[in-house]
Amino acid sequence: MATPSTQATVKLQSNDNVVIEVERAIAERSVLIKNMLEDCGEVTDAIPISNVNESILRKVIEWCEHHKNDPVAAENENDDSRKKTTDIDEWDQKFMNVDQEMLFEIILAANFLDIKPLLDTGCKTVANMIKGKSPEEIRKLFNIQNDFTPEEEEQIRRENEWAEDR
Amino acid sequence: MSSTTLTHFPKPLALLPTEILHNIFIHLPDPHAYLALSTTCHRFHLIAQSECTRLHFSSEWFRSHCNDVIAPSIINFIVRFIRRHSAQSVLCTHRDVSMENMHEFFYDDVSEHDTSYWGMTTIWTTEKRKSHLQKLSASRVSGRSSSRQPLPRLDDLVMDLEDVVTGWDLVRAWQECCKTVPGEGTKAKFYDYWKEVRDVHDCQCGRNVKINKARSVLPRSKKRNRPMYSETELELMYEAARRELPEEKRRKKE
Repeated sequence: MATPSTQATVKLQSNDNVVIEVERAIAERSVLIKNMLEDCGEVTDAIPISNVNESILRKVIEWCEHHKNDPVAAENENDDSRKKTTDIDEWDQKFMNVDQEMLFEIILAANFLDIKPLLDTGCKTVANMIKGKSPEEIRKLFNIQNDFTPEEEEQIRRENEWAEDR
Repeated sequence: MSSTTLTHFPKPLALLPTEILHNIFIHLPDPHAYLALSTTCHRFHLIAQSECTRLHFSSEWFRSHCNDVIAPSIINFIVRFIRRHSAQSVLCTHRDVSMENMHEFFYDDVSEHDTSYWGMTTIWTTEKRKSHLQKLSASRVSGRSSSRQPLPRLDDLVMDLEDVVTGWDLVRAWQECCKTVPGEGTKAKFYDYWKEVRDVHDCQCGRNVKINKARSVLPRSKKRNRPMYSETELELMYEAARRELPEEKRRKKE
């Protein structure tokens, strides 16, 4: 913590052994890396990011670069900063416009690296894909196995009846 | 083709860790999406049913929708009011909390609204919804506070999934109002929905209520929290509003 941040860049190593050098400020969008650097001071070796492969890591870094000047979200969730949470800004929408597998990988990486805003954007993207769809359509979209018996399904349908759209 | 599907393992949504699925549930845009996703398989159903996910989703939903950006924050208040009133035999006490905001919000242009708005049909007339709202009481309100204690203040009520359903209805009603009556008349038309809500719950607010002192919940004394309008002023306003209802609608109500 007391070490002045003299180090301008850090090296990150993906699980397929590719080393990527990034600005320290960008890498620090990840709370995991930030804490690690604060604890260790100067790190000259590449930091292994064991859960993330090269293409996802590059994608995550791209996001961090774009958002490097965002104000770091205050820990106390005081509402105003998070007011318009249903909106995803245009750049993020384009960024998230990838196939499902990539999207889930990004979410997992954001979770692992502890990049809350990226995690939320990813989850919001998935949530918005669900909007307006029936359970059957959702199963198809995400390849979800229906493991309910017909009776169970009927019961849940009846439980939820009150909330149905008119 | 089959070989590619064999060698290639797509990560299905259902394989994501629970904490991430929980996070996805929280960010769903409306309660219908929430219920639809919960109906897809056992695991999702379990996550959706957990109190943690439900309450988190609800608070997040109200924060991101009733925020004066997408819809007026007053909707949050109205939903709390409904929640409170859905408890059987609760004396109307919502004068004790932020009633001023309510009047500020509605009365500035309701006083001169076009009476044709009053004739619009509203979403609150659905019989099913009515009976549901009245049934809400027992289960969750009482579950959240011991019945001997005074009910929590409106601001302290914990919102649950069914409150989001109510809120979602109101938000859509609001958006509908904005579309059909943009500008000045929007609030006036929205006021109509609000009145229906009050009728459904037999709300006595603003009228002269006989207070049963034996009840645990009493309106605060005027000294402590002076409403923006006096009792008589309120009475006059409601009278005026009632008179402005078109004849046939009033007859229907009586």
